[in-house]
Amino acid sequence: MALGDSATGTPPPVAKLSISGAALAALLHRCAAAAGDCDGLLFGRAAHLPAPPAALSDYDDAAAPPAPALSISVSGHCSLSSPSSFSDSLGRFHAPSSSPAPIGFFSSRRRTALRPSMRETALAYSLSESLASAHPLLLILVSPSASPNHSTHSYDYRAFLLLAGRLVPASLAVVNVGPGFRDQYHAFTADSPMPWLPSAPAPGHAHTIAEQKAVDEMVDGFGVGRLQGVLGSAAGQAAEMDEMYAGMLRKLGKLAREVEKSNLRVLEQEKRNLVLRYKYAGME
Amino acid sequence: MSPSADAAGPASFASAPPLAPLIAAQLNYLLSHSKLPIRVGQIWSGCRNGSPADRFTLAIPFCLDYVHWDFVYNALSPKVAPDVVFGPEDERFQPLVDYAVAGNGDKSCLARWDCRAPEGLLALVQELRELYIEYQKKRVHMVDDARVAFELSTVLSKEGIEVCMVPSADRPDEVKFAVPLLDPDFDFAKLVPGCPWRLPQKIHLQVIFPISRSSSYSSMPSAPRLKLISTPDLKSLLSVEDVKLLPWSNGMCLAEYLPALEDSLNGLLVEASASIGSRRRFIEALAPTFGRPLEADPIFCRRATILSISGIFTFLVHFAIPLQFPKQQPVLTLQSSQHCNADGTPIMSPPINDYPWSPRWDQAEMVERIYDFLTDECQNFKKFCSDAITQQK
Repeated sequence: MALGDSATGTPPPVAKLSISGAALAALLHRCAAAAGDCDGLLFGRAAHLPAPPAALSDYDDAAAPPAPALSISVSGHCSLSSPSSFSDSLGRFHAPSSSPAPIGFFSSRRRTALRPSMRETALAYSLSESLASAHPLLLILVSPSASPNHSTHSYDYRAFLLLAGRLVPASLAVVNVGPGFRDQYHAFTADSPMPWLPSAPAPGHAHTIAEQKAVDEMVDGFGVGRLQGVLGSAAGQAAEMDEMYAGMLRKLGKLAREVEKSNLRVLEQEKRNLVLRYKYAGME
Repeated sequence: MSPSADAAGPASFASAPPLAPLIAAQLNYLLSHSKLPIRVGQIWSGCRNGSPADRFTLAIPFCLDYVHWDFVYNALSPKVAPDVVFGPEDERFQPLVDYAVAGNGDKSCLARWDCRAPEGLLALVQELRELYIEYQKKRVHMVDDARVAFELSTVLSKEGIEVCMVPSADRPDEVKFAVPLLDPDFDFAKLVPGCPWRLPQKIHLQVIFPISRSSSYSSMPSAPRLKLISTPDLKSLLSVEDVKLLPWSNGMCLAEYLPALEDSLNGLLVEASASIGSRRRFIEALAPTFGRPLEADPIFCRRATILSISGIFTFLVHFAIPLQFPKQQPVLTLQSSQHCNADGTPIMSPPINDYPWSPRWDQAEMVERIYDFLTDECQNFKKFCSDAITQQK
């Protein structure tokens, strides 16, 4: 049993929490769109901030509160349709599949108190142990609600960090576009790997079919040879680049249509599952 | 506040949407099978369209008070076990984390949760309550107070004892002990023939120890605040508020205090049981003089009602017989059968308890004297009724 008198007073913030406006919107939409409760994993980055430059002040005692040395930013989430899909009834974490390591999880329950429940606390411990990461685990609790005629939707949320065996409420900064958020852009580093590009074939050899396929996955109707030509020319041919960009957009459009179709099928299956679940619960 | 047995209401509320069937089955099982007076608070739904209901607050008796826990089911995912949100002051009560640390989570009823088993919720509540009692015991153990530590070491082994911290913002913290005073298997059916109580009846001694902030051994710690608390049903047999508690002398401890109190309480219960007999004989004695009572309380013999006639004036006499009978006389209330007030309810007299009385009379004489008193009093009452009717016109 985790016991002990809690320290009086608020300790300085351990980490600076942030989430991009788009990621928060997607998360809240996921929670509000769910028919019941939902939960899922949060992904993002944790980075150590460089020490701030020494403040130039004549007064020693006028020191600002120490700035947090750790920054945790949420960039996205993943969630399955049924709640508690990545933990058992005792809150023990089961990794859904091989995926990048999460930085935490979220849980949405309608019309309940925004404090960690029995199972969420246990899941935070279990997930934190299985990740064994250097930064504290993040939990975002969401409580979406709507007025009876659905004219007003409210989203209450609160972030918690697992610190010394306790889930401590933490403030979550929302990062949007604008001059006020310039710091965030300066601190940005790309997370995605550099895309694969074909290398020049050995003289006398053509590009392999595998290489051609790989290019086809990115650009529609653009040969390996042409791509090689664009890469190779130092001046860069504007027309060729435009053509390649248009090809990429065509490819994206095609993918989007496929996703749309498969989403529809997923939705239909979801509806069938819901009917089955209703039957199981004895509600027709 | 003491746990109340009659408040365990039905599992449906007029304003709330109906509970999902599997959840309703579990809640109803809990309410009908629990040995503790558990109450249902709010019931509400966590579904987007507001139906069916799948979450509720339970008020669970603990340490002569209630803890309020929210049980959160998922109507749309019936197979998922319920989750619990504890009170805001209990953030350190983390039963599942303790299971994970000890590695014995498999003994929890959550490990083999079956949403179709109606007894699931009852098992969960019992399990969590046991863990909560242990949690509060550990909290009290961590209090830095020599006297509380000593009391814990001497009385904590008593069966059914509960302790907790009483948080208070403006005063120093206090520690509350709820000590059961009767044997756990004390049988009220032996004392009260035809005893109607479904839930076990308990009498607890509530002891509140103030914790001195200055950890000095020189000053004598102040006496604890003592109070006897019984389950509400027991009030028709024995009023524990009227029991005079023995004084707490300086330097006393609970282990010294309890045996004498338990003895006197057992004596009082035997007396209370004897008092039922004398009340029954009094009600039986009413019959030869007044005729058979219209109504009488057959178990505790606290009430009886007779019909009486004086001339053409017909009226009822309600007898409310106190627990201290025959030391205290019954309280009489007359009710006219012929006069109604403006609301259409029969006119009643004020309660009468100042008529001639002696506890040394035998039951037959008591009834005779009451009869004599009523012969005159009913004329006053008749006039009282006529005046009331005249005023209405």
